[in-house]
Amino acid sequence: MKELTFEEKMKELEELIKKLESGDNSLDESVKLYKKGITLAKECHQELEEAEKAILELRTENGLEEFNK
Amino acid sequence: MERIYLTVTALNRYLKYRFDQDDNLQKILLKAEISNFKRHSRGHLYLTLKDDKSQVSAIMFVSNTKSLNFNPKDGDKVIIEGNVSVYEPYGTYQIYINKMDLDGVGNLYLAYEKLKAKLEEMGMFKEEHKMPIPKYPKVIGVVTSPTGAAIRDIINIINIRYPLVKIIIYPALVQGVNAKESISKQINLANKDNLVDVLIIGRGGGSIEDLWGFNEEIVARSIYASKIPIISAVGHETDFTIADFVSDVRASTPSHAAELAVPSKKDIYKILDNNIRRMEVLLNQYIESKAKHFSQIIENNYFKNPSKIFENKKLSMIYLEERLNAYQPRKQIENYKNTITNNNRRLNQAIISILNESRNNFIRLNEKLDLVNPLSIMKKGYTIVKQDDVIKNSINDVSVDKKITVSFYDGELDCNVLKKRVRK
Repeated sequence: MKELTFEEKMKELEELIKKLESGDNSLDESVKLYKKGITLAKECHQELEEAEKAILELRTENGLEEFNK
Repeated sequence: MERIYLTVTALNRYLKYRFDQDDNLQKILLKAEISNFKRHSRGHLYLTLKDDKSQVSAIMFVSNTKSLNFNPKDGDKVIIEGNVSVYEPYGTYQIYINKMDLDGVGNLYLAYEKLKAKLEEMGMFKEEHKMPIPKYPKVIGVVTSPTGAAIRDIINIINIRYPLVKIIIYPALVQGVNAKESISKQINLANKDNLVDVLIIGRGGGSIEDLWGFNEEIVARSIYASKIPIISAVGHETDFTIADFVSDVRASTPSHAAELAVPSKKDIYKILDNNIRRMEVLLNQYIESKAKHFSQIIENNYFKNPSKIFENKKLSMIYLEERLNAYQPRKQIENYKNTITNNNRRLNQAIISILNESRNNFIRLNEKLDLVNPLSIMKKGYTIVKQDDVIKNSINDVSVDKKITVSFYDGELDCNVLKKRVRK
């Protein structure tokens, strides 16, 4: 499976909480939703912590080049 | 030597001739301030042009005033194109103005107001054209100078707030005469590339002339046409450019644009923590509610006392029966029964009376019958004579040579006929 982007993870987390809020899941489903939510939240946390600097690129006539300021 | 005296008219005519012959005076460019401004009833403008040491009168004919893009007034700094000539009747020279514009900044401001009004009328600033900025962008484009202060500020802010993104710089000239084409071209290029989720266009602070590229129509049109949401970030807080109005969001500075373009790490951590807590609460609530539901089921009377089910059934059956009993047919049946009983009684009575009557009749008839009963007559001494088993009422019917039978009430006699005597 393709790695979800940060945005997709945040979105899925939101959806998942909405589902939990609706309360019409089985116990099994609810626990699964909860576990998945916690995993997603932790992944998002980690991604943010590990990222240090934005990647910089310069659009030139030849396309994208690495940019060092 | 005889002196030649000129007339005043001749002098003024000569001077006018000299002025008009001078190419330098035929097309002069002048920078000045307006004073003594008067508008003639025919529409000609009379004014004095001055600087801090000197002044000259000027006239602008109504035919030339159509090109004016401002309302001249005393104190306005203007630039003028015109010619100098002499007004013969008064012997004064004055400037005949062909073209007059506000000078410098004033002129730029005017162009700005004019373009702003035009684009606004075209609906380019309307809220309905504004696109939302994505919450968690992956790639951010920046149209600006790669060496300017703006890009430095933007990179710094993004590294602090949300270093998950990629920044693509679309290098543009952000001041000078070529700025507008350069900015416009890079906005178009970013749209063609379609690599970024949001585009920041801007530059750091500077004079109004420095920022001018962002007040040009060609830039406004590129922004308007952009399919990528655009945040404008030109100069300082107080600088409002045309680009700001057309863009989807105006940021007061490039740093502010970076803040608008990405969420902050701190906020996301907070959201994540809240979400985790929320999920825990939700799961606990869920389990609690299920447990409660379960205990409610267990506590149910039917579980505790299953015979209740039958009791209830019985109760409802009794109830049904009662209802059935109370129901109309019962009455109807009673009614029928009553009717039948009545009818029976009436029928019986009728039959009895008929029977009684018949019996009486029978008795009466019997009595009558008794009167005519041959036996009772025979008891009085009458007999019946038969010959050949046929009752004979007349002696004419009786033969002498045959036997006859004489019936009494209590027996018969077989007799011979001795003699026939017919009564006359």
